[in-house]
Amino acid sequence: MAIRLNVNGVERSVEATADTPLLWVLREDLRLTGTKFSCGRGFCGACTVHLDGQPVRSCSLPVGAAEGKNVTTIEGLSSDASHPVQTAWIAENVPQCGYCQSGQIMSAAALLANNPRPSDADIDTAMSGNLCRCGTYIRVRRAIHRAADQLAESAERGGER
Amino acid sequence: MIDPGLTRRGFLVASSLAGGGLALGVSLGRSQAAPAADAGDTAFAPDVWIRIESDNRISFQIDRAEIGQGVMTALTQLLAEELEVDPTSVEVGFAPGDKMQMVGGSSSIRRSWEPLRRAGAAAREMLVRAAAEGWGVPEAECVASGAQVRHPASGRSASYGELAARAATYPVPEEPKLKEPAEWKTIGQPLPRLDARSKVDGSAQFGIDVELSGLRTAVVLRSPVFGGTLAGYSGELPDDVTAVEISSGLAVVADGYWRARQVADGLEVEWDEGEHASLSSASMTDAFRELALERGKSLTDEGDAIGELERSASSIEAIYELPFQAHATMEPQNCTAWVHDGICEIWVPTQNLNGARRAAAKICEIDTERVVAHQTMAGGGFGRRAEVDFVSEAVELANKIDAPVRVLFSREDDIQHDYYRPLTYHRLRAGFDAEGQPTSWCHHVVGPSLIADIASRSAAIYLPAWVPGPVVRGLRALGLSVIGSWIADPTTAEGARELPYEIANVCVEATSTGRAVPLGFWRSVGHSHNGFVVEGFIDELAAVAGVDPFEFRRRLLGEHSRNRGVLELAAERAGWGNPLPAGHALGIAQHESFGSFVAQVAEVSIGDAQEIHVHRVVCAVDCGRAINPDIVTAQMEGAIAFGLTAALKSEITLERGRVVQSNFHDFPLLRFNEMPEVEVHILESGAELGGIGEVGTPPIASAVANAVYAATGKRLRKLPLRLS
Repeated sequence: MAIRLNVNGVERSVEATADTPLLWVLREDLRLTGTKFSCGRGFCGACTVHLDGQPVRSCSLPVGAAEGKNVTTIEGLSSDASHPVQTAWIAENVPQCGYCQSGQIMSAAALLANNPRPSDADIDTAMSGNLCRCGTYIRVRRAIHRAADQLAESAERGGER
Repeated sequence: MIDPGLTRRGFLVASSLAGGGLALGVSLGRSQAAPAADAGDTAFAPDVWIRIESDNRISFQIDRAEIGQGVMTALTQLLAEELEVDPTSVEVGFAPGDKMQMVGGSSSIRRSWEPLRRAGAAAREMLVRAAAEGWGVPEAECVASGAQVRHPASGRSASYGELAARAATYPVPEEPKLKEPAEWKTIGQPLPRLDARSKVDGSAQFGIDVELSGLRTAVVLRSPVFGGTLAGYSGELPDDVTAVEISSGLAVVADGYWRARQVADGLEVEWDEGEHASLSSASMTDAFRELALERGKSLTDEGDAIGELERSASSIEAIYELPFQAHATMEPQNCTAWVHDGICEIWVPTQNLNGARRAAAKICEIDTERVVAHQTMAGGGFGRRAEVDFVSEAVELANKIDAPVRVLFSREDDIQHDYYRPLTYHRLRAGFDAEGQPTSWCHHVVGPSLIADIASRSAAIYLPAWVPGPVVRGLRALGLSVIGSWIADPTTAEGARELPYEIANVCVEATSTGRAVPLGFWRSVGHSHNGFVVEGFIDELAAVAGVDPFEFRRRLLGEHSRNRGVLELAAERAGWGNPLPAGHALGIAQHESFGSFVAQVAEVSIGDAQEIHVHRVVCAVDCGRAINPDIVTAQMEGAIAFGLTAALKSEITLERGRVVQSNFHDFPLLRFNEMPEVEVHILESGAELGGIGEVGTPPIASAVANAVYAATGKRLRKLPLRLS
C-alpha cells in the first residue's frame, strides 16, 4: 500500500506494508542511510529519528504509525552539519567508530529542543537509551553542554537585536 | 628489475602521475621483505601510495581499517609532519588490500611510525630539490611548509603541485632527514579527527550503507549449536524470495532486509546439531576445575615456586573465573559481494581486508588479484572483524545468484554467532615468609586454545601475521589438528607469564584445551583476562601482608620500571590516601600490554541493592609518545567503557551447545548513566612507541574489584562482578 509521510520537509509516498519498520523504509526505500540498524528491537537507539519532533526508535515503529507525520533524520537536521549539536560533536571530537552517533545526535537534538538547559540528570534520562560500544559517553555529555551553551549565546544575541 | 627509484632500504619508490604529479609508494614495516618473497625481483609492491597531483591535491591511502581507533587521523599526522602539509588538507582513502592488511595487536602506529615519516621526508626533499634546481639556488636556502617551497632570499615560491612533475624524475633520497621532535608541528598535537564531520551528518559510508543497482539482501539461518548443519527446511517461499543453501546454513534472499527477515522467520528449519549439543559453560568450567589441579605446560619457571609454596610460613589459594565474551560491534557483521565479468567484488567493513580477498578468491576459485575489495568504514571492530565468516557467506551466495548481494546479521545473529573471548579458569597460589613477604607465586591458566581455533580455520587463508613465528611453525608441524592439552597457547597466558612484581619464585603454567566454541581476538585478547587475575591476586597478597595495595605494588616493582611510573602517576592524580565521600572506596591496578603501560584507580560505592557504582576512573598511560593525545585519551575512555561492560554487565553463557544471550536486553552494554568520570594522564616517557587501541581495557575490571574489596571486604574473583 502507498503510505504518505513527510521526511526532512519533503512529502514522500512509499509502497510498503504498514507494519514495516520505519527504519527500513528510510534506509532501503528512501536511501537515507544515516539512520542505522543495530539491535532491531529498540534497545540501543542507533536508529533514533524524530517523529513530529519527538525521538523515536525507527526500528520498532511501524511505518503506518508515521503516516501523515513529520519525520526528521540525521540528514535533515541540517544541510551542512551546522546544527549546534553537530558542531558541538565535532568540537568535542565525540565520534570513534561513529556508527551510533546519528542516533546519539538525534536524541541530543530532541532533548535540547525541549529543554535548552538540561542538567546532568536530564541528560542521563534522555541519553541512557543510546548505547555506544566505543564508550564516547563522556564526550557526548560534554558536547550536549557545549551545544546548550551555544544555543543560549545565540538566544542572547537574538534578544539583543 | 627493481625500479631505479627504489631506495636502498627498500621502503620507497617514486613514479610520475599522468598530468604531472608525483606518486610515492611506501612499503611498511614487516612487509620490507615481501617484494623478494612475493614477486622475485621483478616488482615492488608498496603498501600505500602518496600522491601529489599537479593541481596541488595531496592524497594517500592507509593500509589500516578505521574502526574508531583514529588511525586515519594519526597516520595522516605522521605523513603530514614530514611532508610539511596541513593534515586536514590531505585526502585519506583505504588501500585495496593487496598485502597483509590486518588491524590487530594495537600495531598501526608502531608499524607506520618510521616508514610514513620517512616517506613524507623523502617527498619533501625531492620537492625542495625540484624548486632549488628550477630556480638555480642551493637547496639549503629553500624552505618547505604549507605544501609549498619558498626561497626567502628571492621571495620566490612554488606549490608542491607545480613542483611534482620535476620531483618525480629524481631518485628517492636514501636517507631523508627526519625532523627533530622540537620541530614537530602536528605530531603530539590533539588534531581533531579527520572523520568526525562525516560521522555527525550521516554521510560516513559503513558496510551496511553500500548501495548497488539490483542489490539483494540475505539473512542467513545458522545452526544454533556450534558445528551443527542444515538438515532441511519447509515453509512458504514467495516468488520474490529465494532460499539458497550455503556452508553455514540457509540464506534467505529478498529485495531488502525486512522482507528477507520476515520470510526467514516463517520457515521451519531443522538442524543436525552435531557433537556439541550438550556443551555448556558449566560443564566446561567443571572440566577446567579438574585440569587446574594438575600441572600445565610451564611458561615461566623462576626459582622453585612449588617447593617454596610448600615450605612457606603461610600460603593462600584463589580461583578466578572469566566467561566467554562477545564483541557486539554496533554495526552488525555484513558483507556485500558481486561476482561478475570474471571478478569478485566485495564491499566490507573489515580488520582483515587481505584475508577477506583471499577467502573470496578461494570460494570463487580465482586468483586473489581478481578479487576487488572495497574497505568501508567499520562500525566498531574490537577484533571481531579480523574474522571473515561474513565474507565467505556473502561470496558463496554471490557465486550462486546473478546479482550483487549483501549478507546482514541481525543483532541476534551477531551475539550468537560471534568468535568469542574464551572462557578461562585460573588457579593462583602464593606463599609468604614469616614477615608476610611473598616468596612464591603460582598461576595456572586453563582455557580453550584461541590460537588453535584461529589457526585451524584460517590456515587455508593464511595465519594471522602477528601470531609469533614459533607458534605458527609449531602449529604447521602439527598439521593444525592435534591441539591437545599439552600445548600452551601464548595468548592464554599473555599478561601473566611475565610477572612484573619482584617475587623470587614464580611459576606460570597454561593448559590449552580443545575447542568447540568459535574463539577470536577480543580487545586486548589474553591480557583482558590476565589483567583482571594478576592484579586481583596481587591485591590479595597486599591484604595478607597488611600493606596498602598501592604501596605494596610500588615496593615490588623495579624502581625505574614503567609499570611503577604509571602506577605512581595514577595514584597521585587520584588522590590515593585522601579522604573520600562516605561509602566510597578506591581500588588500583596496572598492566602492560602491546608495549604500553596503564594504571587505573577506580572509585566505587555500593548501592542499596548491592549494585556496584563506579564514579570515577583515573587512568595513567605510558605509550612512549602520544602522536595525538586527544585520540589517546579517547581510546582510554573507550577501553574503560568496554572493560566495564565485561566487568559489571555482561557475559556469554552456553547451554545445550547454544549461546543463551541474544540481544542487548540479556547482553547489556554499559549505559550512558553508568559511565564514570574518566581522567586520563599521559606519561610522555619518550620510550619506544606502544599500542593504544587495546591497552586501556586490561586493568579496569581489577581496579573496580579491588575497590569493591576496599569498600566491603568482599573479594570478587569472577566476572561479571556480583556482590549478591
